[in-house]
Amino acid sequence: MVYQNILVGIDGSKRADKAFETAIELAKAFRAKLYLVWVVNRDRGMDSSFGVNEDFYQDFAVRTRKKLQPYLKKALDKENNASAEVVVGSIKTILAYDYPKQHDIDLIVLGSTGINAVEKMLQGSHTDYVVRHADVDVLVVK
Amino acid sequence: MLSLFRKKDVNVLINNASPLKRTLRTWDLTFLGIGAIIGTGIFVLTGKGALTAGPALSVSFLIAAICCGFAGLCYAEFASMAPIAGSAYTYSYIAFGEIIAFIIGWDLILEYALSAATVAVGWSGYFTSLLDSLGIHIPQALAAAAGTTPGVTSYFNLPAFLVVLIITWIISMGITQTKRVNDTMVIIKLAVIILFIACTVWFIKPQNWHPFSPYGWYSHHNGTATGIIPGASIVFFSFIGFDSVSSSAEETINPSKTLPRGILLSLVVSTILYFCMTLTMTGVVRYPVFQKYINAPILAVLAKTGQNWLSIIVSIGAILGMTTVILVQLYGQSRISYSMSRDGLFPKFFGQVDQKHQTPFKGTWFFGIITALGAGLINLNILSELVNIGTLTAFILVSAGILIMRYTQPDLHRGFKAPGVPFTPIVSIAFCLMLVAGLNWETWVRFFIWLALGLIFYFSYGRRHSHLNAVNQGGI
Repeated sequence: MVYQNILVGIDGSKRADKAFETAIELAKAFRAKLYLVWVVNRDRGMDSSFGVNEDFYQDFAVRTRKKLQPYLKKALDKENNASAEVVVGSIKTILAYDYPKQHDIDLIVLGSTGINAVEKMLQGSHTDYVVRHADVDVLVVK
Repeated sequence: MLSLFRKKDVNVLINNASPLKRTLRTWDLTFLGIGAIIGTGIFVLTGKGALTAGPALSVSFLIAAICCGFAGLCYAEFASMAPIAGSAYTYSYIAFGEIIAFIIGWDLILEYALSAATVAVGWSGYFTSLLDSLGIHIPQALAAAAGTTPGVTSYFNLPAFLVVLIITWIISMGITQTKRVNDTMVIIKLAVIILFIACTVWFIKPQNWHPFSPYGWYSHHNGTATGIIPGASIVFFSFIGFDSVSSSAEETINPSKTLPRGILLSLVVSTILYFCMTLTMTGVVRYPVFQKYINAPILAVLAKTGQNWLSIIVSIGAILGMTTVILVQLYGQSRISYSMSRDGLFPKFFGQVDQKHQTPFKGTWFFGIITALGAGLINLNILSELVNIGTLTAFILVSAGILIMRYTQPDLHRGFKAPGVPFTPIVSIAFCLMLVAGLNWETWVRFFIWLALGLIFYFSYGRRHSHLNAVNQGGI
């Protein structure tokens, strides 16, 4: 089994950066295409009247696009076939279902999430969710 | 003067948009709507409503639902014109110009603060009662705002104050709740309502329904507006959130048919539930008794039937459900003030995004603290009236906007067209105006003061700092 389309989730955290480094090496070894994805989490559970949250998500996506560029550059510098995208939506479903389906992903690389008890209760670990629900292989970088 | 109505360019906003998939059908929309509607108004405002309209409060719910139906259709067209533009505020900026956008934004800030405060007061009512049944007693002086219940000395609603602060902290840390948590809460609230009706309907004494409508349609009693219409003005809050169906026009299959059905069905189902609930409550307890239970009206019924176990279940369900509603309201508030600050209409302070948490940290805390103070100091009688006038005004502006846009820009893209224009928006405006008229004159005064403050703020600050100034100067 050789992986051809590798997805790596980026969120600017140190753990995700580590996953990114691993993903670059993997993509190089497999000569796979690397997809860098940064999801701006927009959860339907927080929707409020008159759609007042939308502006914030859109601005967030614009800022994030800028932050994603250095990652793309780094990946391309290492001779990887890579693309980078910012997606607004639910982190969990985009990483586990939507994005892999659209781009024929066969390996998802993620950092392990470090969240506290309150966060776990309200939103749960994104990585755990992807590990449990994705149809393709998931590599969690510790 | 024209610059009052200066507009944003729609093309700038479309740049970042991606089309949405059409996946929603009538039943999806209906469940979405029921989920958004079955909120917490029913747990908090039925007491105040019953005091205002008597058992005829059930009719008030019908009127409020009809108003929501027409306003919902108008808002659906409004939202479908701007599926990618973002909020109603941003869209108003494109369509109607700066001053209308400012007024809508200013209205919504008040709206979110007050609904968070209103729900927090209800939260506190159920929370103190739950603690009571566990043997922990919070002193009455610290369990409600001054003037909540006649004859009871109270100063400050400490639990309401604290819960708002805690939730502000959660939001400022960038934590959100998932759709699954939200859906679970909807099911809990529905289950609590159905369980409540099923367990208490047997205790109804029909003589409690006489007189059914002690105050008629509209009257004045001890200096306050009473009757079915003022009741509807108060319980309108129980339907807030119904516009979530309207704003999904772009994701709906065949919206011109599906959307009206979705709005209608979700309103019918929730109105039937509310109707049964109100009849049960006023049938078990004579309506004046709610005076003593104004913050937690359902407990008046359970105290009468003596179902202590049920009141514990209801309290827990209500507390859980309300916590997430406060979360969503405070979140919305921090986001609307962010948008206004981004456009220069509000000081930069509110728009600064914290690097670590990726939230408008300062703005969240600023309004969080003000909301917490409001929840602690303002009693429910005042809150319950003020909370609706902002939304009703926003809907009047939206409906009027639909009417105007059909004539000024007939060729604009509309994912959904409201049926029966000009009839629908006119009826919507008429119903909203009727509900505004049902509120007490003190509420109008408070609201106009808020509006006047807003306009002073706009002319002394927003107008000069608006980012459109820079754009326009380039053109001249």
